[in-house]
Amino acid sequence: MASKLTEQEVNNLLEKCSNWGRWGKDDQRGALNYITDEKRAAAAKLVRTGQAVSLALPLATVPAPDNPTPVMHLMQQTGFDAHEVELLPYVGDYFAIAPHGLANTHLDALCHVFHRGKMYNGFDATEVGSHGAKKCAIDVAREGVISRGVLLDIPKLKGVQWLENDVKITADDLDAAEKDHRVTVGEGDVLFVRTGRARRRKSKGAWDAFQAGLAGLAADCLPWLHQRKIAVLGSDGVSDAVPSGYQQLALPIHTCTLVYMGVHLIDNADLDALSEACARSGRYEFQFVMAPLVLTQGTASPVNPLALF
Amino acid sequence: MATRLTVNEVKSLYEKINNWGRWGKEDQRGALNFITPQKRAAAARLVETGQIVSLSLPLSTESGPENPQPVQHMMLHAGPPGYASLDFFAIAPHGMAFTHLDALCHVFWQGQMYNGFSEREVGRFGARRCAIDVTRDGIMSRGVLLDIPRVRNVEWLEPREPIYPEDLDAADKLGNLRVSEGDVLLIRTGRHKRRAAKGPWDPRREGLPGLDASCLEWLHERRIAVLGCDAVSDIAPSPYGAEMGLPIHVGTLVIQGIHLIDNADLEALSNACAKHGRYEFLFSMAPLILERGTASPVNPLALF
Repeated sequence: MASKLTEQEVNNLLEKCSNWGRWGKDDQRGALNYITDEKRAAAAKLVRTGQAVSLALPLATVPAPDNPTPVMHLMQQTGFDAHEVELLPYVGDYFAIAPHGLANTHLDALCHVFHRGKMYNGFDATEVGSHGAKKCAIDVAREGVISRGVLLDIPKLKGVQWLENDVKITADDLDAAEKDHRVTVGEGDVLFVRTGRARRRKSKGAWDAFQAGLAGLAADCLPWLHQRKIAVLGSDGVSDAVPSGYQQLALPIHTCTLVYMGVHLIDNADLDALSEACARSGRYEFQFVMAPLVLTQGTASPVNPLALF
Repeated sequence: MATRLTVNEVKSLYEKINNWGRWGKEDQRGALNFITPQKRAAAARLVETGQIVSLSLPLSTESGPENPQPVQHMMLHAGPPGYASLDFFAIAPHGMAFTHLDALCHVFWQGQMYNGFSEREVGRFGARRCAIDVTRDGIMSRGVLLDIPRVRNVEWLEPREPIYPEDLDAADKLGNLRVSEGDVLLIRTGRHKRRAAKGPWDPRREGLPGLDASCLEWLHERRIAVLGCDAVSDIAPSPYGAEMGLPIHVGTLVIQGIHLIDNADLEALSNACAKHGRYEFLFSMAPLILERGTASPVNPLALF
């Protein structure tokens, strides 16, 4: 059993796992660069049955302990008043969303967090202002993210329904899950680590993770993620274990992946249907497809990631 | 040269091409039912080079003649002090400015939406039937491009210029496609090339090119799953004036249960298809899961 890293050790890891300059000093795409045309073509060959699975929660319009700023859905015109204004009766609506937080499935842009005043590749935090993000905005992913997806299902590995809120997933767990699932995470993969959070929420109701905690990765997973050269990291939690237990580094996985490794993060996915599909087919790899909205200067996009078997 | 159908002929056509009941009386997915797992698996086998093309315009935050309701983008927290940046977006996805997928509940014909559900299923609360979340598992299938300016050997079609079934046949032949069951069919008019050259215009006043109503039968015979366009599929405004609203919207969404992608950007796709000499590709689209919503902004992808 690995012992918990000290805050100083984690700080040292940040530099050690850095990809700054790896794809040039002007690069804003980070580890998405690991996904080559060849990688995408190979991922398409994984499709056999044609079964599609969504990895998104519905956009949450209802307030809850984990959703203090719900999505607003307003009708501009309904079926009751459609005839009064138009030759072609139609309905239309309006959505407003603050994609970050704990409730909605979203992709974090690399500009979302900073460390020592810098974002990925050393760009200054002041590149994000009232106008939005001038560097590393979410529209660097405008051509979509298509690659091999891999699921590491930690509750399945441990024979439990879900991980409790104080559980930290270690690098040893990731190794064990790979072995159990007979899959090896490699360059350009989109890696999902399941905690069973969505199942726990369905069973026990919502909770405020900042108060009651959330299962996630321990900081000792960072070198593992760096060595495997993953392109994107996703979780049904927020990848980080909350609280981290460190004084300065509240979310060490966020800081190291987004800022230092240039790895985009998918937060709050729903991996329950994926877990069942993987168990049923005995395959923990699939074609992964995600198409973030082209939100110029945005810091995130709500997404509906898909797995195709 | 084809002549325009009369209003009565279009109404008769609506009866002829009706898909209500085809997939059961409770069905809310319409022609998406044409996309089987086998169709998806076959579409994945089309991938050769791994080149990817986005078919989405940027979500525009600038108001303009075609964009009276721009996306609102507000920063909740920006840069230092602090360690994170957070923002907020608001969008009314319909209209002529954003790449979006229309739900089947978006328009009505004689008080009904697809499969005969009442327009009153859409109230203050949103849509109880045929909302956009029927597509929650995404849409993956064979995508095909019919590049109309290319077959007509023009840069773009002019506003209000009709596309006829003969054009669809010619483009089908050019791409050696045989558009068929479960395909996602994309029709390029060259709208955005014209915009790049001449600047934006107000499509409500000056118009957009689109499909003549006589194309509805062609679309029905080919059993397409989804129809998309760089404009709004219909000729805008309706060529039938005050007598009849947009016949392609009604004839697809309501009558056939075909979801519509409006305002796609098909310029890069046109170039990629010409370069590869292939007008078919793996099409992927993942609408947001907006329960009771009438549309979703989308970023459709083509993979070669």
